[in-house]
Amino acid sequence: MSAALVGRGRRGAAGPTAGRRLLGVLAVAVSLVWVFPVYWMISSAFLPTNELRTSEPTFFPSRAGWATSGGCSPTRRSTPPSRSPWRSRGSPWWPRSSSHSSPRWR
Amino acid sequence: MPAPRLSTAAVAPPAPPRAPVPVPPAAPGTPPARRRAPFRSRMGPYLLLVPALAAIAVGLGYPLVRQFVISFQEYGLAQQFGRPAEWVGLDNYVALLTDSYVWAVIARSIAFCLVNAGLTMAIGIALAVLMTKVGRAARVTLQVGMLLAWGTPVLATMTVWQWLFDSQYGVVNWLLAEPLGMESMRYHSWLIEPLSFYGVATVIVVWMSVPFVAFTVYAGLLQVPEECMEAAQLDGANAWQRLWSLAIPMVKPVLFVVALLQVIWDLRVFTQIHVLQRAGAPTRETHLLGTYIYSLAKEFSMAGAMATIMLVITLALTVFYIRRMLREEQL
Repeated sequence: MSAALVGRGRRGAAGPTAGRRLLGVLAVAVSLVWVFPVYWMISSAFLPTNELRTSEPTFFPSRAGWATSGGCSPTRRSTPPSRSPWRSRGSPWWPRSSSHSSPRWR
Repeated sequence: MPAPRLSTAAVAPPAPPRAPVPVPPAAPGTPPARRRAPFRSRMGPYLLLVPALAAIAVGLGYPLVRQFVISFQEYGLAQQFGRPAEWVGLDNYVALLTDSYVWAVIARSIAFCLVNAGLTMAIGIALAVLMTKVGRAARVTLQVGMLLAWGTPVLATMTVWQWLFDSQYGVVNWLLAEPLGMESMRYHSWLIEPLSFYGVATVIVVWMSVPFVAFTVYAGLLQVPEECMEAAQLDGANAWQRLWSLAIPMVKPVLFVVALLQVIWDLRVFTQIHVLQRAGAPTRETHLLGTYIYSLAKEFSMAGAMATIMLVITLALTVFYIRRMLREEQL
């Protein structure tokens, strides 16, 4: 790593200067902008549809959203859903036992 | 009897000069063996090239040739169902190149490509320089953010971006209306106007391509020798001069290759435009070359001709870079 380019050469011992700290803040701000869509993807995955489709966006899912992440939003279904699409089509190819009655990823 | 001995002499390449020495008793068998060994060693490299060449010929060459052939034929639905294709010469090209709409698409694509490649390069280089200037914690944060953006699958990010720019529930409209007080943007539709459609597409494409440029240029900047930078510093060059007159010229080959890739990638952009079009944009007004060729796909001959035209445009846009790259490789 080229120390002169990094600007660490002499000032390393004296700690970061104000200018460098400002650049650091800028770098963190840019990374926040870049990461926001990815964050939004993940945070939306934890929201039920009725909270997703509001005029006020929810930036931080407050309730533990694990139970809703499988698509069981109260607006759409009132009964516990059978999470997998191929399950509703007749009998499954695997033996239906008690251990399979609830999906493992619940 | 001579046959096995002959084959051992020919098959053992590690010691070709020594192999004939124990053999002399079988004098009649040696001369052909000795003559064949150099031929084999001459053919060796070409034999090793065959698998790669075959893969390229099958994977890249055949579709290219087929596209080229089809573009000179009448190849519509009937031909796809088995009717023999007729040769029509340059008719497809004439039909396409006399259509003003095709020229509009070409102009739009080139403008989109240049704007996107330029923005991507500028932001990418700026972020690469920023990475070299900041401390470790800030740099790692920036790199992780970039990697997340770069590593997410294109279609997944397209879904999120569509959702961000949604006219009713989108975060962008909410941000503009609530904290920034622009009530008229509350239910603004970003995709309905071609210009703002391309604006959204530019934001997405730049967001996706900047990480690659930033990382590559950053890696290049790390290779700039420390002594040169220090010598320039001792000579009184300030940080800006060191960057512009020393570091950037030294990583120029890297910048060239990255810029070339950006131009090619941004000219043939397809996924982002196609998904955004399906999100509710007027298709005809927002076609770029990639999506236009896709929309012609019922007529294979027209699509082939258009793809060939696009290939020529790509080569024309990049011939300057390629010539320069080849020249630098020779030096």
